[in-house]
Formats: sequence, C-alpha cells, structure tokens
Amino acid sequence: MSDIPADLLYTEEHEYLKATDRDGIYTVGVTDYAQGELGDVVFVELPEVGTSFNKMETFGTIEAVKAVSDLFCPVKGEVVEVNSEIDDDPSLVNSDPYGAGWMIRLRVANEDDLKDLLDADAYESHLGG
Amino acid sequence: MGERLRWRVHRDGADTGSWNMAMDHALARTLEAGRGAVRFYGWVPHTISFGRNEPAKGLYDTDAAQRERILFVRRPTGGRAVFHSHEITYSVVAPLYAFGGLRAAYTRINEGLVKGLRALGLDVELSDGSGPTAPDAGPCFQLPASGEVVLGGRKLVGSAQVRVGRALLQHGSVIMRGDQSILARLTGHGDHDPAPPATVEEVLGATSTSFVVDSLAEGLRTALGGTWTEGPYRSEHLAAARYLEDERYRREAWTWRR
Repeated sequence: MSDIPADLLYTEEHEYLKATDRDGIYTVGVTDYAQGELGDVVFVELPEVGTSFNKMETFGTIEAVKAVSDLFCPVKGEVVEVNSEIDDDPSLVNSDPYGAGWMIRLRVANEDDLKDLLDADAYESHLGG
Repeated sequence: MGERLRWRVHRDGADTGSWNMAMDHALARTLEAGRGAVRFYGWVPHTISFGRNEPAKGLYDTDAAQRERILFVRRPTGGRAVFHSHEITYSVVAPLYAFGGLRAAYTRINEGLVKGLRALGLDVELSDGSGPTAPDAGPCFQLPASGEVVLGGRKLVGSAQVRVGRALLQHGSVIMRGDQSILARLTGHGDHDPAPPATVEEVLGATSTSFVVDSLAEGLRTALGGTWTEGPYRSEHLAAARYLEDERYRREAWTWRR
C-alpha cells in the first residue's frame, strides 16, 4: 500500500504539491506510488531555477533502471529552487519521496489553480484504493 | 488482470534509427483507448542508440563511425547504449494501466518474449538481475537488469520503457548474431566486447528473421491476450511519426543532448 499523506495535493500523473512555510511557494515531487512503480531511480533531470512552466507542462524526466517518465508541473508557476541532492543520490526519490527526494520548489502563479488538484482521498481513489 | 485490448501488429522491414524511434513514439502518442500496437523491425544502416538520459556527447569517435557507415540516434526510452545490427527489434505500445502499470507490463511483455523464444528451442529465462545501474554505467547488453530475458546467464533481449502520457512504450532488441564490441571500439575501450550478448543463431544456426518474428508474435499474443490483427499504419500514425522524426529524432541536438 502506498503512502498518501493527507495534507498534500496530487495530480493523476503522480506528482504531489506540498505547502512550505513561505507564501505561495510549494514543493513538488513524485508520490510514493510513482517511485514504487518505477523502481530504482537512477537519474532525475530537473529544470534551472527561474524557469516557468504552465500547468501539466513537462518540467523534467525521471529514469529508473529501465523506464523513463516525464515529470509534469501540477500548476502554473516559476521554479525557485531545485533539489541538487538528487543529482548525487537519485535513490532519495525511492527512500524518501515526500522528504529528501523532493524535486523542485515552485512559486505558484495563481493559488486558485490548486483547486483543480486531487486531495489525498481523491488520489487514493485514482489509484484504485 | 487487465483489459482485453484490440492489438494491431506491424511487421516492418529495416529502416533508419530516426524513423524507427519516431514510429514507436508516434504509436504511443496516438494510442486510442482499448487498443494496443506491436511492431517488429530492423535497422539500416547499422545504428547505435542511446538511452534517453545517457551521456554520449564527446564520448564516441564519430569520424570512425561515419567511415563504418554507422549512425546514431537517441531513444525515447531509458537504458543504455545498444548497437543495432543483426537483430529483431520489437515494440509494444499499450495503455499505461492495461496490465496494472509499468512494472507489471514489463513482466508480462518479457514473459511473452520468453514464450516465443522457448517455442523456438531457446532455453531462455527471466533474469534475477543486477542492482540499479545509472545511465552512464556502460552498454546495455553488459548487465542484465531484473526481469530481462537471458540465455545461459547472458542477455539475449535488451529492453527499455517510457511512459508517454497515458500510454507505455516498451521496445527491445533480440540479438540474432554479432556482438556489441563496436561500442567499446568507438569509445576507446578496446576491441573486445567485455560481456557479449547471447544470440539466437548461436543456438539455432542461421535462422530467417520472419521465422523468429512469427514465434515472438505468438508468444506476445498468448501473454498479452485480447484480439490481434495485422495491418498497415493509419494516416495519423504516419503523420505523427514524420513530425517526431523531423522535430526530434533526426536532430543532432536531440541525439547529442547529453
């Protein structure tokens, strides 16, 4: 059973969005389900700080031993920080997807857009739980 | 588990790497609900393909490759370098969750390949695998990953996957004969393949491609279920493939992006 923290928002493509203590800034990564499905992550390609993305635009790629998947930006926003730790140790995405395995911090353009994301219950239903 | 898909099988001849990658990607991009696609194809001229994120820029002697009429392409899928010469390449495109997800599909497709190869008399099995390997860990056929098709412990089929929206693409090389030593030669690592792949012809001797394709198709049909028909590409497949070839797979900027 995958870990689905109650206080996060989710996409159907298995990214999560997590509030930070800074106004309008959210942490984005992939869910526990996604990392389990991909298997051992060997590489994550992330954007540069300052890049802006539209909702569901590809912001990077994640590669496991065999599978590659695009990473989708949950809402429109600008990247203000990227997790360089996962460059050195991509397995952080497997071991701690909601913590040390985070990917980008995003300044969300319009927080009304968050309404379109799934809450934990809806994401669990999406997974067939 | 899984829905019954309507599969279309395409038995293509040999084509360029850029077209082959574009068509595989196009089939995934244009996949309709309830459908799946299987392709078999070859490569002309011989081509080295890189994994989507594999470092390659500056690592290959491209002048020597040109003298040997070898081209380069970068795949949409993960994994590491493959030299495509005397092989049968398969690709399977299906809805992402048709078999429960990427890993479940990987297992199911590889079981189909095992069925097809065993029917030919090859004593293949699925590998227990090595640990995780980074995109820069060396050629694809050097180390079997977990669940890959091996013959006597050596890799016979090298496969890789990508998720394209709500579809998955898995493709891979079934080696008929030859080794991967050109990868070592063009990267300045000597003349020998340190871990040559297993080959179909080392067991069966000279074998026709269509004979092997028939058996692989039957193995996949048994493993994947659903209804199977053969037929040509539809116009939207061809249009998407032409677009992807022009915009990505024929471009040096894509091939040498890392």
